[in-house]
Amino acid sequence: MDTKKQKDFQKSSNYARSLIEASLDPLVTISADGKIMDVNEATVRVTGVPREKLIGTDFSNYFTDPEKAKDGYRQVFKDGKVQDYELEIQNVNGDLTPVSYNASVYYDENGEVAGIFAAARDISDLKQVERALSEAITPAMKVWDGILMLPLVGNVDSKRAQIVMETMLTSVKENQIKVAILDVMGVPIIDSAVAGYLVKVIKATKLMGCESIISGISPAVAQTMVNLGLDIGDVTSTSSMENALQMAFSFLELEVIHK
Amino acid sequence: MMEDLDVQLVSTTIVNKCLVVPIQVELFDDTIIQLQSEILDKIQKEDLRGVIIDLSAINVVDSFLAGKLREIGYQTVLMGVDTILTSLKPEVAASIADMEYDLGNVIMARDQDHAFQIIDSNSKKII
Repeated sequence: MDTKKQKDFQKSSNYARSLIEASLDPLVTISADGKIMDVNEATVRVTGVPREKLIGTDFSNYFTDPEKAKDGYRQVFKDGKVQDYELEIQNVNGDLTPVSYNASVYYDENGEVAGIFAAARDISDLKQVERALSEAITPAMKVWDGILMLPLVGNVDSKRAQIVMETMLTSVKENQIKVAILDVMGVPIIDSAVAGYLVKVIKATKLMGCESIISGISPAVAQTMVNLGLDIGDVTSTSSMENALQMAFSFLELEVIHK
Repeated sequence: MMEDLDVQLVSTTIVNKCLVVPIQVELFDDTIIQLQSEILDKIQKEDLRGVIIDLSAINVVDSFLAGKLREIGYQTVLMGVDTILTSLKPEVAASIADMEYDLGNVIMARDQDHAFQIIDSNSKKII
């Protein structure tokens, strides 16, 4: 009888284990001091570290931002769970995998917290789509030979500013741009952070030997910028796109003539 | 031995009374200092209209290089000649702006053609 019980137990244990191993999502259990207690095959694949080397090491070691990883499991112990917690797993070969963690505490037979069960989901595709989307709303267009226009619509944060910078500089290089116009008509709020980003983009553009103009400074924006004491340095700015184009033409010594 | 190598790494030429300094390698601090005095010497010896430093091969600009470029800019202007940097890679331009390095009064140009144009228009003003 005992042997049958043992067999049953063995069977159900094997079954549970095989389910865990079958999961395509990296699964991991973490102890209260942040050490890895158990992993499945998917975790081994995504980190590139063999199972026996993973177990017993710090969970936070395998991420690009260990502090954020630590904050993550501390939050689980505090609140009992976290959902959609984004981290980036670093493989030993250098590959990075953006993942979203769902994690919660689990209990032992006495009802005490035994550790954290954390499941990661690969969100590389999602990240790619997000990036493509923000690039799509940051189009750089060549409006004239040597003139580039980049209309900004929506809020600007540091990520967006980075993309604007990249888009601006690469198209300046590729299209032999002489004057770049950054239109901020569609940016609702320009605070010190946003102004800082804009000045950086303009400075970098100037470093490429390209003249640049900020256009679309509305009365409200002009007022808040002065009230906040924001200085955009010696950046040329103007209220309308029309003025900016006119400036660009005169810079290129071009003239628009009535037929 | 090392000095010979350095001289060979950054060989300057004079084109149309402009000193062209094409930098084809990542610069070591020593090389930059040597280059700096070489440029100033050339300005004194030759009758130059401008200095063009081509940075197309540079992948990283650190604070030392940025500081030296800034110094070169001020020094050449003191000697009556503008310094023009050309052909920065987009990622290098982005990092200089990000790190907020100040390049002082050096002039930035898209490419060498643009640099010559700037020098031409600046010399016209003087005459």
